[in-house]
Amino acid sequence: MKRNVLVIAGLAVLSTSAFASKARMEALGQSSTRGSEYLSDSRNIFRNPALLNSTKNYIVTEWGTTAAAGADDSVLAPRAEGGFFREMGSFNYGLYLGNDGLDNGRTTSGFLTQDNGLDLFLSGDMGVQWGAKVHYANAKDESGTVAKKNTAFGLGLGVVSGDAEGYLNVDLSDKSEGNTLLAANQYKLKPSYLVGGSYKWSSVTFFASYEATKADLTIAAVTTTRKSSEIVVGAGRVHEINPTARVITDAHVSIADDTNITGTGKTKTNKIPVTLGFEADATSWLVVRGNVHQNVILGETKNTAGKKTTNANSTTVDAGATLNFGKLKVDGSVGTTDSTGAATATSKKGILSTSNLMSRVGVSYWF
Amino acid sequence: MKKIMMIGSALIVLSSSAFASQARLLALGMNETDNEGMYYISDSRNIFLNVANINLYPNQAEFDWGSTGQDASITGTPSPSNSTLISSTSPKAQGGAFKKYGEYVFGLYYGNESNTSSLLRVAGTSAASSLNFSGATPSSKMLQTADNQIDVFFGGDNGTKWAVNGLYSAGKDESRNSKDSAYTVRGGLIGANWDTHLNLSLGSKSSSNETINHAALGLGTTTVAQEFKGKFGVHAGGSYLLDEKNRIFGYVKHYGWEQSDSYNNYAALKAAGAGTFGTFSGQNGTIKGDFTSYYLGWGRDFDVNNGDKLFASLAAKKTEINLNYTTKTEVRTLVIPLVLGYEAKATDWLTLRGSVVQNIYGTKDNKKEENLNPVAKSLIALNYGANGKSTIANSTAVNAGATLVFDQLSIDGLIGAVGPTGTNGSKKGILSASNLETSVGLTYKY
Repeated sequence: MKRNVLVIAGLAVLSTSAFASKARMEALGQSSTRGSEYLSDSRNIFRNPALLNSTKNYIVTEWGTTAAAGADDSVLAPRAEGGFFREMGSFNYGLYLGNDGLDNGRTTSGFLTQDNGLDLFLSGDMGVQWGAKVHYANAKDESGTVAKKNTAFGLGLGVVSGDAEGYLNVDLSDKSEGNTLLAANQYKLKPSYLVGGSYKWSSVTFFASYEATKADLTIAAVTTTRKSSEIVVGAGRVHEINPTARVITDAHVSIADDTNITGTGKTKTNKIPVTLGFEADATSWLVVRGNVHQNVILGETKNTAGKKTTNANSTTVDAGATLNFGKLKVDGSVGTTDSTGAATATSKKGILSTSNLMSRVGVSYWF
Repeated sequence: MKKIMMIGSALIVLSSSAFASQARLLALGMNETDNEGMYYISDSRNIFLNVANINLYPNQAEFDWGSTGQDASITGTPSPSNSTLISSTSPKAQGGAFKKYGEYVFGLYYGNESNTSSLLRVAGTSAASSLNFSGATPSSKMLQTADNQIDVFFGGDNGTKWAVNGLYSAGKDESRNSKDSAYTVRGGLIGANWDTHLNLSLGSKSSSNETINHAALGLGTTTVAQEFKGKFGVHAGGSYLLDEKNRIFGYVKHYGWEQSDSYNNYAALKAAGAGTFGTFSGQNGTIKGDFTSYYLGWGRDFDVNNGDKLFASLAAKKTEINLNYTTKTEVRTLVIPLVLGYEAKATDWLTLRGSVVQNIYGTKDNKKEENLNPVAKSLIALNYGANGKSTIANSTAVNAGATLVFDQLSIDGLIGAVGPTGTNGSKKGILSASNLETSVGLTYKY
């Protein structure tokens, strides 16, 4: 009996930790870029590379377009990405392709953005789990009248010790030189960082992070400096209803500001988003998940003139599913296209489409 | 016990070699102009890379769904759509059958027209003819590309697998005074841990002598005699298995040709506003061109989870195209793509596969593409980039595919290639049940 319970518990852990996609994270109200602070998912290695120690030996492909020149990855226009992660002796390594970072408004200014991004991961466990990642992207275009180029470097470090974890992700540089108008125009990201950590106490994970970004945008010899920061403090919990279903809850306080140092001043946004979600094994081959998300008590933006406005329409519902074929899992979002099949910013109309069975599909294969 | 293990190993080999389609290899990261196969992944499509592969697929028929091919004369603004290239969004119908009789394997295959051949004939078309601007919009009169192609195969296994293949294609259109023909022979050998092939283009010719009309530009009609004449072409290469799994491979492709254009009024044509359809020069007379591609790489597979496979490869490919106009047109690309792929048996009746590809290094340095006719210019730009020196942008691509298995019958296809409203090629991360598979290939084994 005891042995059976152990086997079932093991399977439950396997089934929750084997997911790996942006679609799953979004369907559960988490960050598709950096993963979750408290839910197990392989996307979390982009926040804390030490978590590669617990999610390894898989290949993942995120379906999307190859022609999103400079465009940020999004639900409606996902970017083709993918990677390979493997155990090697007492270490784990990984290679991820196509993580091209953020546009940060450069496309509209005609700069080259990060392209053909490459992330290399290495992690190990020496009592304390550790991990590191290096990000690199390089692009140039000398075919126009103005030569343009972009180079970006980033570094991520993380540790996991028992129920505690900490991480530091630094964008060492992200520089775009020359836009469609002038070779001297440039976008230059100053060293920017995200530092944070979490601690699991009982069944609740408490987490906090601080992110600071600073960038200079030089157009026609006029430099505009912007900086932004965000403090996040929160807690999240996974409640195992039964071996095949989980309810998740999280809430956090977010205090963010965006300052144009050169010009118009500071914009501040304070909010407390609360997420209620679930994930359930509908059948042996189908996992369904979803969440409802809303700012509670606090959710307002103070503009540069000091006027406050409530952030409208913060209630969102996301849903997703996983087609489970043993070691192969096909994740995706559901309900994102409308009755005509269109995928637009307003196309969520409560439709469960069998034509567009899933969108933002991510396929992971575990070995 | 040993016997059971041997049977198990045989089944694994069988299952990995039982697939057969362009769609499968495209899903696993194939990126060849002619989709002729991959050195490190076993698939019957590889018969067009090394013809000796017919010995591995001796008793089967395969049919790739698609259109009947595009007309060489299409009304509309000159663009790649006026071309005849086969792609995953516009697959062309083709297929054939292979049968083993005694010690030998015979095969017949229809419709595997070469994209490289089409590309060169498009490039060889007279700029004036590619416009033919008589009405509201141009109606390109391109040189005929290879059509109704037949490939005949013959091979055997004397310890070393061998095979030869003859290719023949010919067509004419007397209403255009045009005709075309192509002849190729391929030979291949497969040894225990090596394989090699020599594919020779013995002849490729396309010509026309027809009236074109530039009435919309105020230039009236004229007769243009044009010809594309391929010189000796070679595609030689092979692979070597370093150990149980690691394979190195490479090839050299070289094709030369001459193209002639009798139109001698280009200055007037451009002055009349033909440049609206793209800056171009055009050139009266005969010029020479050549296409050369070098490819060298490493690839391997990994056996995982009792029969599933992972794939990885890293290869360098350098492509050079020269057209000796008065000011030379040059296309230069160098790419080093890294391919990571998987193929897994999801259920008894379903196999899923996919890959992610990205250039670890990729540059192009192209010059004077404006010499080309407007159709060729846009086609070259689409495949090799526009004029100028730059890195190759947005090279990250994710492909996926599936095989529906019904005993001896299998249906391969790409998945996730359609957009939310069903547009083929508009990849938006959609798993569509309406367009369940695209670029479908059907294989029946007997």
